[in-house]
Amino acid sequence: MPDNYIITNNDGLYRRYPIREEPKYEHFWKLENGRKIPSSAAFKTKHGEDGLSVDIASLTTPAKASGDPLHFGVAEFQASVPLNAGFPCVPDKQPGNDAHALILGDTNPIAKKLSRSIVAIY
Amino acid sequence: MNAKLLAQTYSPNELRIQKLVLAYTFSANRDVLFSHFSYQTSAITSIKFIQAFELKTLIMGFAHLEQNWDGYNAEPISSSSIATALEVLGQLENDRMFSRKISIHVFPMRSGGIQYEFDAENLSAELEIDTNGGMQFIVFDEKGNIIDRAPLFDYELSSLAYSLEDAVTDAR
Repeated sequence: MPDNYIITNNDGLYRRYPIREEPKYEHFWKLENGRKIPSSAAFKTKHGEDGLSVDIASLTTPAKASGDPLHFGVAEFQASVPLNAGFPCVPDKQPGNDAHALILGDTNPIAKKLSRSIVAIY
Repeated sequence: MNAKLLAQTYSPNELRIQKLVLAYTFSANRDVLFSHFSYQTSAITSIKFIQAFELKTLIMGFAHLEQNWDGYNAEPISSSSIATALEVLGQLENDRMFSRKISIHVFPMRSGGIQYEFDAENLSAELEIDTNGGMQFIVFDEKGNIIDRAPLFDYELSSLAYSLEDAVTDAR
């Protein structure tokens, strides 16, 4: 990723979510209008976090963003959703993951909006 | 129990129903499992009961989640939040919420709490349970914006059904 990369409304963002189900009956998604979408809980920062981790879609692949397709799915939404809600999205390279970025701030107030704006599930 | 009949009536697939029935039939602890709801054995024939049983199984399963269960360093689910979530489930059952056209889901939270999600044609609401068992009731509009957010105390649990009905009205 270029050091001066700027996330715009046109960028897609990937957020990983757990897909373990049987045998423990743990699941983290629900069907809404026939679509399998993660709970808004997957988009809420926890206490002490300064932002929500995502990957920039144009700089990675869903498989890389998942890392472990047996245990994690990937949800894609447009960066315009947090940006238009006043939440800056900034690149945040991590070792081994140049596509990593942060939605800055406490995302609890927009978690529902993010889960509803999902455009693709991988 | 007629699993086929249940599967035709209740939306999840037949395989899931059969697994639930088998889990119940062969569970050595079924009296303990079901004591929370004070049901007689014959109550397993109720579809609503199976729905509640499925949610209870989910909630109890959250106790097995370990640190980093979401790949983003999520916390294990606290025992207080599990206890409160089961208390809420009992109240929902008492208020016959499972017989209404409200879809009820329960999910672990990254902070170590648990959240209920309530969805209906004119309703989108969540009940967040924090790691200490404290509750917040949140109502959303159709775009996911928060309309209302308020604490819900233990002694107010009996008002949950009314809060949901109010939320349906407010969202219209």
